[in-house]
Amino acid sequence: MFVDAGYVALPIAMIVSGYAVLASILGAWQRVPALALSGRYGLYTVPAILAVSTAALVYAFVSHDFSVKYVAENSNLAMRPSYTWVAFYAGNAGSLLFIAIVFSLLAVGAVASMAKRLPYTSPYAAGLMAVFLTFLLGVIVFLANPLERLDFVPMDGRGINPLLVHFGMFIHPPVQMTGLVSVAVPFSIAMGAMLARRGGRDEWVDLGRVWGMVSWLLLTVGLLLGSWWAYTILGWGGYWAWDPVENSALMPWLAMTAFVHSIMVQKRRGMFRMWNIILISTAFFLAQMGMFINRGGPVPSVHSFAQSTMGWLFLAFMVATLLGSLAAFAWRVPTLRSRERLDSALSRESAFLIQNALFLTAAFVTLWGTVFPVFSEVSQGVTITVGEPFFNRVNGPILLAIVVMMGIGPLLPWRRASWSKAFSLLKYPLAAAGGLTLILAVAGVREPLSLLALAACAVVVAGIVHEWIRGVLSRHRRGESYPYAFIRLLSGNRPRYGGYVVHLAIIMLALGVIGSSFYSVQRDFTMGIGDSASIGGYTFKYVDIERTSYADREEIIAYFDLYEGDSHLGVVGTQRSIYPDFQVGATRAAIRSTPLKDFYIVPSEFADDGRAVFRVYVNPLVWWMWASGPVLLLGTMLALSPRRGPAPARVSIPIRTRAVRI
Amino acid sequence: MLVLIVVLLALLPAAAILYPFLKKGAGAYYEDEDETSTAAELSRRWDSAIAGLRNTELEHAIGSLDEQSYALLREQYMTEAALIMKTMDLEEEQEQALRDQMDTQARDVRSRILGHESPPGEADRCG
Repeated sequence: MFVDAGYVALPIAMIVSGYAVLASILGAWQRVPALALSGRYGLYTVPAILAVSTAALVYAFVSHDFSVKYVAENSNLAMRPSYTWVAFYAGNAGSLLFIAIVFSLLAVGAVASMAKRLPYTSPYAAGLMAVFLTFLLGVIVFLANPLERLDFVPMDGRGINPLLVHFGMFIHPPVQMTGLVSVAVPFSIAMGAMLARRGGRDEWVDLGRVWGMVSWLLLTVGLLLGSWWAYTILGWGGYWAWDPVENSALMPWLAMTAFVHSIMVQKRRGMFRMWNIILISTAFFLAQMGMFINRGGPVPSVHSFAQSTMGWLFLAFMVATLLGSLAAFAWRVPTLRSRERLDSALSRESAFLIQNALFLTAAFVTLWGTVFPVFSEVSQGVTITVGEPFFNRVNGPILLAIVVMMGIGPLLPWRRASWSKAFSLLKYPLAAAGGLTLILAVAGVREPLSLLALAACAVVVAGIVHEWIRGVLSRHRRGESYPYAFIRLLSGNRPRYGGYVVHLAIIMLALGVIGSSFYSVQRDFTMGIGDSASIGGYTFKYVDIERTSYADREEIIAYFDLYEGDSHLGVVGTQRSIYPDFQVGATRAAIRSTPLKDFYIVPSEFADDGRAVFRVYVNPLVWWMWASGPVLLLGTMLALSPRRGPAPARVSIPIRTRAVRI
Repeated sequence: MLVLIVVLLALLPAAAILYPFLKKGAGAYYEDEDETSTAAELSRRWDSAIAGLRNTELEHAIGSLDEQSYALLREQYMTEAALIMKTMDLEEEQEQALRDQMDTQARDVRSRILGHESPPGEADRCG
């Protein structure tokens, strides 16, 4: 009965959300405040209604109610109860319900935060968010209802996809999906401001920036966790393969990164108004493209859901959104023009613009490579998949240029800088980069591209450290201790210095990419128990094997004694599991990770005597990629955190407005 | 039982949706200036000048602007702000209040970076 209640709650949520669309937009347009408010309050109830459906699905999983088709397809009696969380979004229908409830919560949070601060914009933004929510709920109700019953009740379910049985799956998919749908929030705020005829004012920028950063953070954490999952469980020694589903998360991230930078120019200088609307619309377009690919679009991927007509619905919605955005933009474009102009090519604004262009170029190169198989199929009748070399060759230099701009941009002043001033600001970072390049060259690093990339990283780090040192010294001269001065400096301008912490995290990530891209070593070893081998300064001895049968899988773990030089580092175990019901094998690499390098070993199939081919990698600096996650989180939190103490009153020109009841 | 749950599920949004119509005075809009109006344009220019002043103070405080560029930029923004105040035909007291608030903003930016109040006389340049 509980499941049935959840089933009925879905169309109710869809109807209420549909009402929120009409009431919010009509109420604002026709200036009927009660109608707009009614729409907003209706939207507020959607998460509560969806919570009933969510609880019903969780209950069905926990109680092994295999009469529910989705439960039978994504769980079985052997599944550990904790994996109910993963099973919930393991399939298309459940993941749609997940993103619907998460998006409804985000929408409620965003609308509540706007209601008082942006009274004209918020009804339109609420209406637009409700459009997206209604679309999601419509797809669930009519095409993919996770609470749909079977005509018969199976004794057991099929079980969860083995590749999802990993700790990373508890966090990566939900964060990634939330990140993709969250792009709709800043998009709705920007579009809402335009529809409310307030786009030419910059009042939406603060909230647009905050929600943009929330969305950016979710996308970033999702990408990082996805890479970590790929590294530890897919067993190919890497973390990024330019797979369409990976690309579908990267593309909106690139556009959102451009947006969260560009919006600062609008905040600071009242410039880039049109550009920011274009950027956030592009980010939303790319996020929807990601959903289209994930939901069974025609682009082949190793880990999208099965191909289905649902993908085409997402495509149709994406096209409708794009056309709607273009129409709204064309309508309001005269009011979006800024009075301010770029004063000089040598200024922070110009640096932002160049960086934006680079981000968008990388996003569209990735889009082109991702959808190329479809174009080749249509034009030549042959599916040609664009592989890793294309993306690395084209995007590699673009990403390097972005890192260079990340070092130069923040150091340049707004409006204009003379060449001599620019040089004086950049001399220390450039000297640090030169010094590092020299040291690395003397130490034997010869690869020009890696030297260039590491020098670019040095520019960023030195620029940040130099500014911090200047600030700390200045405060220290006024009597503050060094640590206190540093903390006070960071908290004194949180958006700026929080951004710097994020930049440092990106450099940590870049170090991992550079190390593993240029200096990774890989070899295959055929080994039996008792055999030893060496690679990259490590020696490893195959000491034991353990075979265990579970209800759903056969698990084999091979143990190795690991040495670096003469030092015994410990015993590591790499495993392979066979899932007969799914007819797949899942591997789990053994990884010994240090800041300098990772030892990574993964098995192929085992012979009866325990003999197997082991693929071994030594990946330098990958540790820094995973360590960048917490730093990145910290930096974003700092940038988003409100200032301590009362802010001085905003200096507003007294333009009178009259309060009227309509 | 199922019917009861469904009724309860439907009642919740129904109550929320109807509430604004039943409560008198729920929701008020302010008569808004068209964003193409002169007043809106002046407001935009004013906000831009104030933001520019704050940025100039910030960049100067962290050492990205030398004294000459700082003085030039500051002068430009102050002139823009003064022009807008003149166009708005404000009372003397209102103009003075705005200048005081601008001083406070500048001091706030400086003290957050440098950790001290600006030396006497420096803040006067805001006005």
